[in-house]
Amino acid sequence: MKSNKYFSKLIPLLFMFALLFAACELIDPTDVENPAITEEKLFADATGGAEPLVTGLEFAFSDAVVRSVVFLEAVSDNYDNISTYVSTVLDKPRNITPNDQYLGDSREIYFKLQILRSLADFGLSTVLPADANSTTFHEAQALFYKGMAILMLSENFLAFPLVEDGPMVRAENAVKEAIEVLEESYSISPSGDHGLKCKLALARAYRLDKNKAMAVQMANEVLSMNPTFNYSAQYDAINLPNRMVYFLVTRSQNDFQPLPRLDFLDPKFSTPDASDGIPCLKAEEAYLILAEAALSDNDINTTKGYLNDLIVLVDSRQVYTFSDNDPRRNRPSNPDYIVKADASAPGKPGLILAREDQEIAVSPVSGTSLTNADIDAMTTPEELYYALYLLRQEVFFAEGRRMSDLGIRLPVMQRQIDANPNINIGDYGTEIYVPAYIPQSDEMDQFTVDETNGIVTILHDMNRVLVQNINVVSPF
Amino acid sequence: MYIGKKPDTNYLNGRIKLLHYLLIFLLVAATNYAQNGRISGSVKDDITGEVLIGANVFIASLNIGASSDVDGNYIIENIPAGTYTIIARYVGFKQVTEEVVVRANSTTQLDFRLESTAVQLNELVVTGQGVATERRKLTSTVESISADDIGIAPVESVDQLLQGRVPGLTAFNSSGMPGTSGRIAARGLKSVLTNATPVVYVDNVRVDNQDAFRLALDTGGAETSALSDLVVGEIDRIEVIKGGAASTLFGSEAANGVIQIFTKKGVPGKPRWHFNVTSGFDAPNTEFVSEKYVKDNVLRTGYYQGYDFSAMGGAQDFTYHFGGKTFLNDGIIVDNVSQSKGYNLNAGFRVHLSDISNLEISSSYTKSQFRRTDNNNLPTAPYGGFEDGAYADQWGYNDHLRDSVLALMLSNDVRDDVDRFRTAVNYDITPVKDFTNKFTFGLDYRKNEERQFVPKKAGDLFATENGFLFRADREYLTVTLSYIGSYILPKLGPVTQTLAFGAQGFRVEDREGAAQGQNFAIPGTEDFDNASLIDAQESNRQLFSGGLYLVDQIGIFDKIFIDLGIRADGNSTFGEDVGLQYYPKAGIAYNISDESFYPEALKSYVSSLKLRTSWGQTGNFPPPFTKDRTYASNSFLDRSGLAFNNPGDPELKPEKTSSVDAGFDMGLFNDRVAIEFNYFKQITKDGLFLVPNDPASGFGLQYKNVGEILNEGIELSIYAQVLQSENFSADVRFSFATLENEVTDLGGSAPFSIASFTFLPRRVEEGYTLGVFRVNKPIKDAEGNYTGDYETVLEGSPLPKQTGSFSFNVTLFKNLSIRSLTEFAFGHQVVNLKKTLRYFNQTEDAADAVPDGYSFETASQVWVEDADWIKVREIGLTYRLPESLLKGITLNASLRNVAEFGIKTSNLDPELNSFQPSQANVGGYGYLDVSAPRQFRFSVTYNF
Repeated sequence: MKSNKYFSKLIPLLFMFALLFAACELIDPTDVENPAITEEKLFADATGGAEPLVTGLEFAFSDAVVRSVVFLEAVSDNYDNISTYVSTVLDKPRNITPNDQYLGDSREIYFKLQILRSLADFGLSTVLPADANSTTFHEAQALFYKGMAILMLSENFLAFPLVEDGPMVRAENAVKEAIEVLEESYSISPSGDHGLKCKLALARAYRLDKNKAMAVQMANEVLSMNPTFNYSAQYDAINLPNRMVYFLVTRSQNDFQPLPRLDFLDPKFSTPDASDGIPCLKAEEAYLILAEAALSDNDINTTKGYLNDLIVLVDSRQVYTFSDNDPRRNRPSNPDYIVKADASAPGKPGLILAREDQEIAVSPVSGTSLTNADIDAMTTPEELYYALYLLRQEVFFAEGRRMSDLGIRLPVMQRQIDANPNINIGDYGTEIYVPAYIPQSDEMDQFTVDETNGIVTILHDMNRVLVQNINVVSPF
Repeated sequence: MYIGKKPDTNYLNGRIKLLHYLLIFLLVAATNYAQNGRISGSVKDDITGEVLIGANVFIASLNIGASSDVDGNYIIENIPAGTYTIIARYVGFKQVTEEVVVRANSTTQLDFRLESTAVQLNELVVTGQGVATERRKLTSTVESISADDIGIAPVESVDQLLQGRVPGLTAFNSSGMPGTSGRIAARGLKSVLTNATPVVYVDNVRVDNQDAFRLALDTGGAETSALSDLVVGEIDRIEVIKGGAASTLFGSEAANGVIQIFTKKGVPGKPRWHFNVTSGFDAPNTEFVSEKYVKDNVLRTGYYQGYDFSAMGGAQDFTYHFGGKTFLNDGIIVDNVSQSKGYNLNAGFRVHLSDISNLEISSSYTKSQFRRTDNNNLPTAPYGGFEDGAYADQWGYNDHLRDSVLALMLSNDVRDDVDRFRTAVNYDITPVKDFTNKFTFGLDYRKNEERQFVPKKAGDLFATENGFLFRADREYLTVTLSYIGSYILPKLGPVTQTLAFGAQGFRVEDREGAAQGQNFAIPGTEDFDNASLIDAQESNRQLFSGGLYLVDQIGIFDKIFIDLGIRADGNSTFGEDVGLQYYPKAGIAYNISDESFYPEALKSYVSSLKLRTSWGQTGNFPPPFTKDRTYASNSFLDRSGLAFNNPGDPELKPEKTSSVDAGFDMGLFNDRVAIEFNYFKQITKDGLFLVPNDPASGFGLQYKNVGEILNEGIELSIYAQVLQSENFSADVRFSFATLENEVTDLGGSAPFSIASFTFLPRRVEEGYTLGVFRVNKPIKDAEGNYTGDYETVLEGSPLPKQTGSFSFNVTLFKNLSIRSLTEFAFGHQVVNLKKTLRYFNQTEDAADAVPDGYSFETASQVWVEDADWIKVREIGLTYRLPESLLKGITLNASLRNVAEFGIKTSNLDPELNSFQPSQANVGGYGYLDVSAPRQFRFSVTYNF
């Protein structure tokens, strides 16, 4: 009786299992698919990969630029970082180590520049060759971004690897690599805006390489093609906003206050949706290079000519009016104050703007406090070098160029040292370089206010310091 | 019940059979007697005479039994004439064994009087054992919370219920915002990167247990948690295991422990209804509030009303329980901006399909709606935005100006809607004696929609000119399928053996989508259709996990118990090069007090003593898809750009935690006092750390199995029935646990910070506790003056080293009971970030916090404070109106979050931590969270 029961049970059971087995595929719960772009999917259909690569490089470039600007402006005398959660150590350059949380942050300058470089390399070596529809223009663009990445690294860091797990390459050698890559990019696509960008980038790179002749040649070629050229990194209100706007406009704390004599240039980026571009390669740079070259040859008149042309260009740049309600706590905000660049300098009016409930006018491209009359009145090389570096500071304000001009060079981030077996703490490039003429601590940002007499006195006039050390400061 | 023919055990006829039995129940057909007898009687409390409802009375040799009904009466039918051993058992009482004679065609009367006991040796637990096992046989610890404990607790959700009730398991409040749940951790943090919340099963079906919502809108921290919508009313009992050998059978997901919830299925008897009306109010806890403006104008007392009902009943072969609940809580922030409400309907029933099979089905639907504000120090947060001193008088604000800022903040409309449906089907069948099988199928579906709308007028404060709409949806579905079987091997002399074996699989689908819209030029619209700038994201994850296990439970002389087990696991999150993972376990328990050589003299003091020790491995699987190298597509200026994403690792495997547990369970003074002591040491190897790739590669962090973490400590729990008399009973419970946590090995990767603020990070460093603070300590010279220099050190622990609780329960004259629960945590520190922000805003209390010559960063040690606390969690009073006055009415008054003592932080609730990264929620940052309010509740319950 019992065995019969089990036997009669067995047949239907077997039948059921057979059905289950056949239906396996349909009811298989183990099938799991990663919706992201896996390596497999990326190369399953490689056609059409070139455009996204170039867009990706644009994104990475804009990202790297804004992250660099935030960091480098805080280190320099341009801005004082008062109380954001951005590392306040940045105001005291000698205290910056690879372990500094901001330098070491994966969202910040060093990593972003390496991402740009690495993505360009990935595109050139893998994506573009795999895409049958890619053009030489795509290649030229990828090369341009690679060149810019290496150039920006060379301007701001002592040494850094150029490939994964590679050895440290000193900045003075890396810049030559940048030049090579930019020259190649230019030769593939020499026309239009792309050609201009390459030329201007080359002028900048040759200057860093101390190659006066080539820098001058590039600068002249740019001005002859387009004397008002401006290439800005683009931002996207939703996907990649210009982060500087958060520190300059939508301040929640007392963030990022400019040096009082630069107050009139602030905030360079002011649209609330943070879609302002950041100028990277503009014609002003060509004038500055030409002026510096002429001045190094002691040619006063030619120098003055270039500086005057520069001022005309700067004054012609567009201006935004902006309603600034920033309370400027503990910062001078009285437009009647005069500002002394240091204790011995003459006080200059008009550098501090009235802000409360006022409309102010700021240029998102370039601004300056110098006039043609000021330049005409100068006679000595020292005065002109001073004007040159003041102009460099004002024209490149909020563009992340000042720290390099000051001569400071950053170390790589701690993660670079940890992850690369070829790099150890103590190697060249793992410690910050701050020239001896840079003041102690955060003195570069300090100033005093004499309210009775309405005078703001800045502790150090860094431009005067630079002129005193011009032999090491100027590359020409 | 028979209907005249023998039951048919053919599987394919099962469904027809079910219909038959249901029909029979509905028609209330008369039973048919054969040549058999019955046993019936009552089950009551020996001392108080109270009836015990749902007590289990059974005859082991025949494997038949019955439950006592609402009047405490039971009846077992159809017993062949003869003499039998019959056992009666009920949780909290000593089981009673009797001999009984059954005669054909007659009823034998047998009443049981059970003595209450603190020691629960005969209680059956299932979690982690493979099969229902008596407590006396357990080689590891399993805690349980019974329906009685749950019924009287004034809690609204499971995480509140767990506070202070399980030694070694902490459930700290994260924030007073509605819908957020406590941070639950059992025995410290075993992992750096994954959430420490134990896995939760309801009726053997896995359910969502987290607040993981990747695309959730950023309101400065607070997240709604899936735990907070596990409604308490339907829970019959909870079993908790804290990791270790007990979790082995759950495989690669149970390193944090397992919480198993069993829902009510009803008790035989006439339908018994229960209606409850609760009203009360939430008074904001202003102990930690700094700004007067906040106390007066932002916080307010919110009213609460709740209604719930349930019904249960049935016959011996079919019992049911269903219920529902709704509540509305106005919340403690003005303008009802933190209002919450919820609805719940649940039903469960058990059908005795035949002599050898049972079917249990339970389902529950919950709908919750929360409104929230922006949190912490977002400038738009009504609480935090003022509490950080940004709008203090010295900045030119007066109450009138603050009012207008507050009005803008409150115009921010944040809503969270959760719909949750859960169901579980459990089918038991015992085709032959000693061979049990349980098949389970179930799912948990949770849908969460978050919506934030900032109208045009509030634009300036929110940095958008023309309004802003955000919507994020998360759909979480988990489907569980499992089989558990057991077979009792024939007895071999003094050795009994039970083999338990099972297979389990579950699948998770986690789909999220979010969209933002900007620029609503015309006020009054709230749809994306009317936005001019729209952006959207999507994030989808899936995973599948399957495993098999085998356990051998051996009993020797019914005094020594050994269990050996192993689980094999496969999971779609494991890397390509990784195969099945194996988790073994072994344990031994010795009921030494049962031995004949156990001295009688000692027995009057130490009435029962069980020694136990066990070892086992369990795991924690990596997040889905972290094993793959992926690229991303970034949207930029209306185009799509390529970017690097996850580096990938084909060797990615689960973290493995090995635990050693040793301890004893002791009963004193005739089992009136139960002491449970446990020592544990858990080592997690292959700890998942996010290891950075070379930055020059362009890739960032990758999950890698490199770390090693140690958790060690003791757990002690004492439960004493201090007084037991007819009119007065009192019991007290004390629990205490210690924890030493250390990151013992970084596996060669560099130390790193866990989601930290740069000036005072929480670090993962070799040789230190997880989350140790890296602080800058100002240096003083010989005279005690500050030199201006500082040293950077690692010190402090965000995890408490000692935790515990104390509770008592007093019953007077059977009708009045008073209870209280207090919890404490010592030995940890918190960073008072509120003070840091108030320092930036130079408020009176914080302006001098940093010594001259230092900055908030270079003297960061000033922000670290001792976070010790003692909190009275609950005080409650229940009064059952005497039957003479009004039958069936019970009054209940309770207060939650009663009081705090021993607080050393300045104006900061040291328990809160809404700054929850998706990684290990280690705590340690005290921000601008609203404390959980003091909740007064008064309820009237009508049972009939």
